[in-house]
Amino acid sequence: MSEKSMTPQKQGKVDGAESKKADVLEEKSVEELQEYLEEFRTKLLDDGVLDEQFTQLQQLQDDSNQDFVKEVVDLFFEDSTKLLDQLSKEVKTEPIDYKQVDAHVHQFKGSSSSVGAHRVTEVCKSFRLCCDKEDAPGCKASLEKVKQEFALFKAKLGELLDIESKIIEKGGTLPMPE
Amino acid sequence: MPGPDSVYDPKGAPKLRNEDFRINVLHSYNILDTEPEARFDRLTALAARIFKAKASLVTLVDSERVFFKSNTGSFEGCGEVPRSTSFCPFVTLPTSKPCLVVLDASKDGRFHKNPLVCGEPHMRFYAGVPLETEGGFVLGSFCIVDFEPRESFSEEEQEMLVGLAKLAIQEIEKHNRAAELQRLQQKKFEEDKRGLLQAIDAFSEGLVLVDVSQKGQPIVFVNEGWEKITGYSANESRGQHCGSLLQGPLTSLETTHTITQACKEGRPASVEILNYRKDGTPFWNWLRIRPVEGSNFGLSEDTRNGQGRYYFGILSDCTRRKEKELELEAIRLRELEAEASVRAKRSFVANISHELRTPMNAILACSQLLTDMPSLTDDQRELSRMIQGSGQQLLRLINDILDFSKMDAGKMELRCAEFNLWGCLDYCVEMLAMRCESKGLDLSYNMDESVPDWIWADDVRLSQILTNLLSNAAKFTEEGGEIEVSVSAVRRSPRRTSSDGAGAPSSAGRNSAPENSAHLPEYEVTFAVRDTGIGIPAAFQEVLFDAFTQCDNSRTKKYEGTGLGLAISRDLAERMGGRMWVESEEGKGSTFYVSIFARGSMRESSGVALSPEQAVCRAATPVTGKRALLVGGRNTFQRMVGSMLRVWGLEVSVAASVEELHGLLGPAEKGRLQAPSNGRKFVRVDVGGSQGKPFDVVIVDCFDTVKRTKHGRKGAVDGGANGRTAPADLVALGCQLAERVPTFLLTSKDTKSLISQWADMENAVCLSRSIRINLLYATLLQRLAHQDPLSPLTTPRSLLDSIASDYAEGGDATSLEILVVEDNKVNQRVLNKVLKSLDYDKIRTAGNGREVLELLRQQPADVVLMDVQMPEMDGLTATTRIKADISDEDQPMVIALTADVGNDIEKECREAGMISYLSKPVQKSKLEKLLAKCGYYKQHRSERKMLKWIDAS
Repeated sequence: MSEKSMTPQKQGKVDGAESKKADVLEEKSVEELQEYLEEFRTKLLDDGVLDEQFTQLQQLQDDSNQDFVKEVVDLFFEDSTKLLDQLSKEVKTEPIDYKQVDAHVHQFKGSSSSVGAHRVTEVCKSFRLCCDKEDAPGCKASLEKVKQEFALFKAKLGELLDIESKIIEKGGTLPMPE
Repeated sequence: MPGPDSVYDPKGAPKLRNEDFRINVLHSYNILDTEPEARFDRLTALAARIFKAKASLVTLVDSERVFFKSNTGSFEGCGEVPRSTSFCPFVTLPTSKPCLVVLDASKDGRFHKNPLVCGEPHMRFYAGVPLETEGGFVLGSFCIVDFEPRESFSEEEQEMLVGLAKLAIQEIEKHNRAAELQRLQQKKFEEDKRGLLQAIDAFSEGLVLVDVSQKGQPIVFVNEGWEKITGYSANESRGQHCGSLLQGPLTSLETTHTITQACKEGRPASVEILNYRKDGTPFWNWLRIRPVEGSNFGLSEDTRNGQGRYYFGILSDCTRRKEKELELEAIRLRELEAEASVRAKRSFVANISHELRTPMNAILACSQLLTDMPSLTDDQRELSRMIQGSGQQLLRLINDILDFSKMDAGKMELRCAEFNLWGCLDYCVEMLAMRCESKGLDLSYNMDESVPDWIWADDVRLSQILTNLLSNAAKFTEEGGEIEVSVSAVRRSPRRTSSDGAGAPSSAGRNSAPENSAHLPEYEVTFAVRDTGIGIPAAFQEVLFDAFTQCDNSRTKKYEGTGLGLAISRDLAERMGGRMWVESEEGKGSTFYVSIFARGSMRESSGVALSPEQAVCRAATPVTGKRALLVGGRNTFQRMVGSMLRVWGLEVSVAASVEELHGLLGPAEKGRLQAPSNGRKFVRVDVGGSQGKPFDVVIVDCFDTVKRTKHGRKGAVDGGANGRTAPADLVALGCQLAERVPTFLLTSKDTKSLISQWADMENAVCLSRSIRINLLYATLLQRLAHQDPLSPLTTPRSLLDSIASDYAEGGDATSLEILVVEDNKVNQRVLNKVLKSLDYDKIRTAGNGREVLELLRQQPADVVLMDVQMPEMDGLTATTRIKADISDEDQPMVIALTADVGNDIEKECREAGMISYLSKPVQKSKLEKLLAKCGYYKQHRSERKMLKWIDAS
């Protein structure tokens, strides 16, 4: 991953913990980083932040298209931010147009499942159930949950990509997920 | 002046004739014995001053007394005097004068002996004006008194006194009207109150009146209903606080709060509250309260002078109703809970079974691969087979559970297709053959001639039922027993007419056969699976088909299984329009019957109507073109074997009699065949065949012959007159062929010894008459194609699978033109990438249903990957449009991509004309396989036309 592509990620969260983390990464050797990456990835899979769909995504990345994961994920972020904005507005309008909300949540669910954002997908599912029941408080609560999970996914994925780019930077290669 | 009436009478004034009436009138004025009143006192004071009199009075003449209503002057303090001593009664006597004037009483005959005149206070002067009512009755007098005699009392003075008297009588009249009014009101009020009280007490409901303006909100009134309901008497209740009397430990605080709040806000309220009686027993009280401003209806003494704020409460004991409600509520809750738990269990079971299946399939596939490895030692192969066997068993259990949960949730669907009944039956027997063999069970089957060879039904589910029955039979039959499957069929008149497409209710449950079977006759096909097992007690036969039952616990321990098999089988049978039942006798065995309704046909099995699968099979077999000779009775069994041999590509000749056999063998050989006589006699035979081409294989059906001999049925040995059973001599001749040609002798276990007299057992292969086509096939392969007999037997089914997949992979799939229709950019991107990674590079992308139509018109595609849920135009609609708008040659294969999975969506996709579906997110491996198949169909356009659906899961 290029230095350039990393920059916007870092700008967003310049707090102590983050820079400290970056320092920690800096200190590690390529081997350690690779090990750490594996560990981190496994943890994300175990926690359900990611699922095998993300693995598939990573496997699809090859020499011809080295930034594939990043591209798709960025596309996802861009898309999602718009969708979440729209959803926030829609949930506030009275009366709620549940069909519209459901359609947007469906879209969100579709794209999150494609990038393997497992937990986001799951909360989207329960969100849709709320739409089905026309349960306004449920929808509002679901949206908050979706936002939380989305933020979590974004943060964790940022971290993962950071580690990866650090490995590349240090001249290492990325271990291929199985 | 004093006349005859001027004589002194100690009784006083004489009484009038209507004196009693006058007294009544006086009494009716209710003025006697009332307190002095200012309005009269003002008049008398005025009169005393005007006439300078010692006293002035308003008097009322009663029967025995004279009452002073007003008394100003010297007599003050005196309320009345006896009538006899008073002057006033004289005023009441009729007279023409307006006023009675006595200037000097001591000189008046009427009064000179009057004690008030002779003695104190020595009255002398008296002037009195009658107080005459509007009705003309004189009630009393307005009079003045003096103790000195007067000279005169002038006319003017008299008139003035009369004027004052008039004012007095007016006051009296006024007083009377007010009193009358009040009296009437009081009377009415009393009556009302009495009525009200009676009504209130007659009321079965409790009534309570509470003064909420006072501290402690005391009860001011209760009725009898209250006493009955609460057990507190009126005295005990009055002054108490309602709540502290009635509320107890289990009274809902929320409800009491509701009441308090309503009282505070002056609102009415209606609640159901748990209250306690005096004896402590609880009861449900339907309490309705309502504010009553400023009035207590006179139900209690109004100590607040109309300032009280009252609440009226009505109590009803609704304990019974409430308890019933609570009971129902509890039941409903329990039901809901149970339902929820059942639902949870169902979905859990469905999910878990699904999850279990995936690794199980992997285990099975691996063990299959392992078993097929040529380098394996026999021990290793045996072990690997055991893994496979156990794995299959486990998978069956899992499938049972999955089926059951599907069935339970009403999600079981049948898929109708045309298939060969022999093949299906054989497949089922094959499944159980190994087990039966190892247990020494004789497994056989036969089919009536009436049974159609080909039927339209769900073959997978039908095999499931039969396999289940067979495995039960094998499970519950002890060593050496028999299991027999017989199939019979009866033609049924179609249950619906062709014009009545909706169908009768009976056909609703099963899968209706596709259009192209509509012309075929409908059959009721009955399968009977008979065993000689332990049998089923009569009592148990009824519950046998319920889920989770096995005969008893001890059996459960002995015989593994979920107990779901029969429940599932019966459900399936019913869905196929039939039913399932059992006949059994304990200790002797059971026969399970299954009937299904299906359309079918009796096509001659000449290989004309081979399905693509069978065609594949024939093309691939190494036995193609070999010649087979079938020796045996003309029965369904022979028909079956013959048909299968033809399916495999063999040329089949049939010999059902000695003559036919001779004919087939050619005249040269005829003479050399001899019927067996005593002892073993072998006759050499050149099996050349009439056309000079030798037979490659001979199959002799010895079964019925010997079996019937053994059972002592005469005639059987010589051949049944109907030709169904092979005559013994034919069998014997057939057996002799074994010397020259690979020969299969179809026997049963107990006939081997007999057969061995006739046949060279070295050369012949004895197969149980419970012949499994697949085993026959495998043996044929071994014998005719000289395959390694130790190599694993490949069943036609798995053979088919491998051939089919060979074909699929053979297609030039990567040349496929693919159109991705997906509104979600992320998904688009990912899908494109997946396709590229699979080396598909002719990819176009559309964002919605409209766009795809446009793109297809510009340039056709081979495959469309269609998102089902899209804005603008959804995938199903778009597919329907593609089917309608795009020309036949350019029709793409549309594959649905959907996040919703389940039978419904599959059905919808099929109906829309899609060929398969993939669940999202798309798995690369599945997509790969599916596209490979599409590649195959692209290459084989003719088959493409037949293509209805590819199961991608």
